[in-house]
Amino acid sequence: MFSFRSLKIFFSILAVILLLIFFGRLGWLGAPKNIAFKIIEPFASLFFNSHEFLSGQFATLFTLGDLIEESKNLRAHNLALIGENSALREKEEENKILRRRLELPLEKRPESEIAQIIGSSSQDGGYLIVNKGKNGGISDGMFAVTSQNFLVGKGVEGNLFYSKILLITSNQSIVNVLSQETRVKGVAKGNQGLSLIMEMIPIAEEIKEGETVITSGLNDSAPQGIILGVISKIIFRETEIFKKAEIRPAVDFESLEKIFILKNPDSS
Amino acid sequence: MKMAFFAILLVFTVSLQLAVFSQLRFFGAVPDLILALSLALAILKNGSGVKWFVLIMAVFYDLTANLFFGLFSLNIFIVFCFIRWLSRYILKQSGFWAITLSLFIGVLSFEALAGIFKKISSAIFSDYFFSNWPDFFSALPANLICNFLLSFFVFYALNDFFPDLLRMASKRKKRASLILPDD
Repeated sequence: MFSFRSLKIFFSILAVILLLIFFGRLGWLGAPKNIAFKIIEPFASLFFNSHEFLSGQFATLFTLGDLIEESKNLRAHNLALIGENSALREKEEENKILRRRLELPLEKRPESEIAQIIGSSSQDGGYLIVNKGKNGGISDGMFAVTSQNFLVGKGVEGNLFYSKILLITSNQSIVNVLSQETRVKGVAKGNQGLSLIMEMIPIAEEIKEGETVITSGLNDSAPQGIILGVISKIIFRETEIFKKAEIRPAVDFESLEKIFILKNPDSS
Repeated sequence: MKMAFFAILLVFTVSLQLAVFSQLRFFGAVPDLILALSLALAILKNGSGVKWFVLIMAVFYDLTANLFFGLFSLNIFIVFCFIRWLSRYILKQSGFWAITLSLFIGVLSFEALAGIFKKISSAIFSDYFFSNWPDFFSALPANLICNFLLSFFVFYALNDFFPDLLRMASKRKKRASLILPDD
């Protein structure tokens, strides 16, 4: 039933895999990872884009009825935003003039690198794989955002040609945040890949449902003001000394194709 | 010809798993094309070459998916050898129920080993994350059903589309075309 030779081969292969696990922990597999990625990238990119296109087409077909109503609501929302945007532009100009008058430097936007998503996984709590790595100046700990300045996640385990972006909804993700209106500080942790939970909110602090939550810029490489989402529920228990709030992410992770990696000022 | 076929199969399977299958969700379960292909090959294909093919495919996925390196390869290889041994010595028949049982045992052992390996890794390496056993068990039924159905589909697709490339073991050559009960 078992020949000595086949058992010897079986255990030798197991030993080699265990050795590779050890090498992987030491970070010695960077070169093989880069080579494997270079081989897979064109095909993975093609499949990813085809999947996005096809799933988008099917989604449109199935939701055609709701689209008319949604379009009407969006038009009304758009008009309100045009007004708000115009007022904000005026304020921005006013802010620039005041800064010049007070001789304060103008606020600089962080440098960013555009990256194409070529894969994703729900393992390890959810992450994306993008086609930019150390060759594009990307390093671990850098934050990824969408073109609308919505926070997507943080770079971890980057290689030469690609990087892994841990999603903000992943259980391992922790970001320092701030509620935009009430200016309450807290920590946003991922919640099973579905939403975010804002923790460490002191009981005495007032926080409202529907408020936008942004990065606070404290102890992170992310600058202040990147949008995480909107508070959908406040969780309060009398026995606990901190409140919690559930945040609905602003990003639609399913429809992401390209993201921007924010480079740290000292890395460029 | 065979070499080229398996090289293309390897690249396509890993790319598809990485870019498409890992995004799909069926009641929370993520289909695993590499597992399905490995199980199908364990039953269908004889010869030592296929063992190396499965191993290279799993290592390739481990390298590109940027997971905790090695756990997936280790799991796939053990399950592949186990199912191969099972289909050779215990479930020798190439009938519908023997194949169904082999595929189900394969998926079950993969999920069980995945849970065990993750738990051990999270205990040894502080930076490795394993949610918890209740989460693992709640996702198990959906994972089992989803991957079993995918394995079943891949098995019959391979058997029907590439019968010459995937010749059965010599003992079973006479029954090379796997027959469903109602055929």
